Amino acid sequence: MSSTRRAKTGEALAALSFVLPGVSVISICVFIPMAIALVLSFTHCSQFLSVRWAGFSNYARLFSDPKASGAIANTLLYTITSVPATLVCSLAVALILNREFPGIRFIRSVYFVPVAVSGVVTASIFRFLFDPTNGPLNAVLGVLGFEPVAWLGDPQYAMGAIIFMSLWKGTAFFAIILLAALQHVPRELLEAATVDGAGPIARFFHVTLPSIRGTVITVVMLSSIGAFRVFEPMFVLTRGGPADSTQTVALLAYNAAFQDGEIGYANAIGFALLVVILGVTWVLNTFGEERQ
Amino acid sequence: MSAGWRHSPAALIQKGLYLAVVAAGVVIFGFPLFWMVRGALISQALWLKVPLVWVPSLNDLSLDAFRQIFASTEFRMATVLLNTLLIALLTSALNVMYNCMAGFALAKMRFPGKNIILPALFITLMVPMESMMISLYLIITNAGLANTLAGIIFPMSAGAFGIILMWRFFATVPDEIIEAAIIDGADWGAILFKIAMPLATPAIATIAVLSFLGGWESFLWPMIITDPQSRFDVLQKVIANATLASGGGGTMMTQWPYLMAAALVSSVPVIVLFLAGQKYFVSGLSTGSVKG
Repeated sequence: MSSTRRAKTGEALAALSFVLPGVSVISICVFIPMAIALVLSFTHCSQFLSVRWAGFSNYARLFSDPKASGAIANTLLYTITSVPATLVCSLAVALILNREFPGIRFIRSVYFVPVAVSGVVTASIFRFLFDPTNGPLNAVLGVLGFEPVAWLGDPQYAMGAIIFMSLWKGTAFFAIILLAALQHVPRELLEAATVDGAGPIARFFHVTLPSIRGTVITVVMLSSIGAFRVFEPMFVLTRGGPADSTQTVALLAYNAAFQDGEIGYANAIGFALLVVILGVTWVLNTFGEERQ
Repeated sequence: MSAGWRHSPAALIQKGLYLAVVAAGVVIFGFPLFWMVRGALISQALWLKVPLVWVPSLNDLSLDAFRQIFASTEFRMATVLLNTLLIALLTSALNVMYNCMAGFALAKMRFPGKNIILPALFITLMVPMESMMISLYLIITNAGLANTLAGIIFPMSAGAFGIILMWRFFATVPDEIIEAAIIDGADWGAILFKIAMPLATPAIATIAVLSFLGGWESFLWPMIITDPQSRFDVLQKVIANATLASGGGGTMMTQWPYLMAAALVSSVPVIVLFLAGQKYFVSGLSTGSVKG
C-alpha cells in the first residue's frame, strides 16, 4: 500500500516537473501579461514604475480620439473585405486542386509556396510590384490605357493594395486546410448525388459544402482573428499612412507604446482588441457547434 | 471512365478550360516569387529602366547583390543569418522538448492541477500575441533580458498549440506499453524519452517544422525586445528596415537588388523546408484547424 502511494507521489512529482517548463513559459508570456495589461489599461503609465490611476479614461479615449476611431474603421474595413475574399479564393483554389492527375503534386506546391514566404518578405516583394514607375502592375495597366497609380502612396488605394497582398498569402494558407478537408468528403455521397441528377453546382452546395462546414467555420474564425490583429503589412509598407488611411488598431497600440510612451493607453487598446477577438471566436464557435 | 468519354469534344474543351485556369493560378501565385528572383539577379540600373524589362537576358544576371549584402555593414548578412538560424534551431529544439514533456504528462500521468492546465491552454490559443506584447516587453525588460538571445527566444520556446498536439498524440499510445515499462522498473524520464517520443516522430516532426518556421520568420518580438541596431538582429527585421528605406535616401539600403537578395536568402531555406516537410506542415495545419 505504501509503495503504491510512493509510486503515485513519484508520478505526480515527475509529471509536475514535465509540465513546469511549458506551463511557466505560457504563464509568464500570456497570463501574467494579460493581468498586467488589464491593470495598466486603467492607469496613465509612461514608465513601468510611474503609475497614475486613470479610471476608464483610456477606454473612453478609444471612442473619442478621431485617430483611434479611424484605426477601428480601417480595421473593420480590412476585416469585412479580406475575410470573405480570402474564403472565396481559397475555396476556389482548393476545389481546383482537388483532382488527381500526373503532375498535380508539383502544381499544388507552386500554389502553396506563398505560405513559406514570410509576411515581411511578401511586403518587400509587393512594394516593388506596386511601384508607381517601375512596377509590373502599372506597366500592365499602362498597356491597357490606364494612368499610373501610386498604389501605396495614395490614401484612396493604399488599403486596397494591402488587402490584395494579404489575399495572395492568405489564399494559399487556407487553401491547404480546405483541400485537406475536401479530400475527406465521402466519394459515395458525391457519386450518389450525380446518379440522382445533381449538377456540379448542386453537388457543391448540397454535398461538398455541408461536409466541410466545420473547416469553413474554422477558416472564417482564423482569418477574422488574423484580420482584427493585422499589423505587419501596414508596419512594413506604409506605417499607417498615407494620411492614416492604413492605420489599424494593432498599429495604434504599437505606436502608443513605443513611439508616444503611453503604456496605459496602449494596453487599453490591446485589451479591447483581446476582448473583441475572444468575443468573435466565441460567437463563431457556438455558431459552429449549433449547426453540427 | 471509358476511353470514348475521355476523347469526346465536350470533355476536351472542359479539360482545356480546367488546365487554363490551373495555369492562370500558377502565374498569379508564382509571379511575385519570379519578381523577387529577377530583382535579386539584376542591377539597379536595369531595374530603373523605362519601359520595364520583364525578363532580363542571361548576360544581365549576376550574383553581385548576394556578395554585397554579405560584405555590407548595413545588411551584415553573415551575422544576421547566423542569428536567425540559431534562433530558429533553438526555438525548434526547445518546442519539441517542452511540448513533448507537457503533452505526455497531460495525456498519460496523474497529477494535481491537470484539470486546470488543459482549459487554460485552449484559452491561450485564442489570445493574440500583439495585444500582450507591451506587457510582455515590460516583463522581459525588467528581468534584464532585453537585447539578449534568451529574451528573444524565451516567449517562443513552448506553445499551447504544440502541447495540445502532443497531448492528443500521446493519448493514442496504448496504456499497456507504459504499464509494462513501469513493471520493468523504467522511470518516467526513460518512458518519455525512450518509449513514448520514438513512437511520436510524425507529431514531433510537425512541431519541429512549424516552430523552426516560427523562429525563422519571427519579426515583431525580436524587433521590440532588441535595440534598433542590435548584435542579435534577425533577417526579417533587416528586410523590413530595408523595405522602409527603399523609398529614398542615399544608403546601401536603397539598392533594390540587395533587398531582393536578402529576401531570397530568407525565403529559400524555408521554401526547401516547406517542400520537403509538406506532409508534416499540412498535417499540423489540419490538426490545428480541427476543434478538440
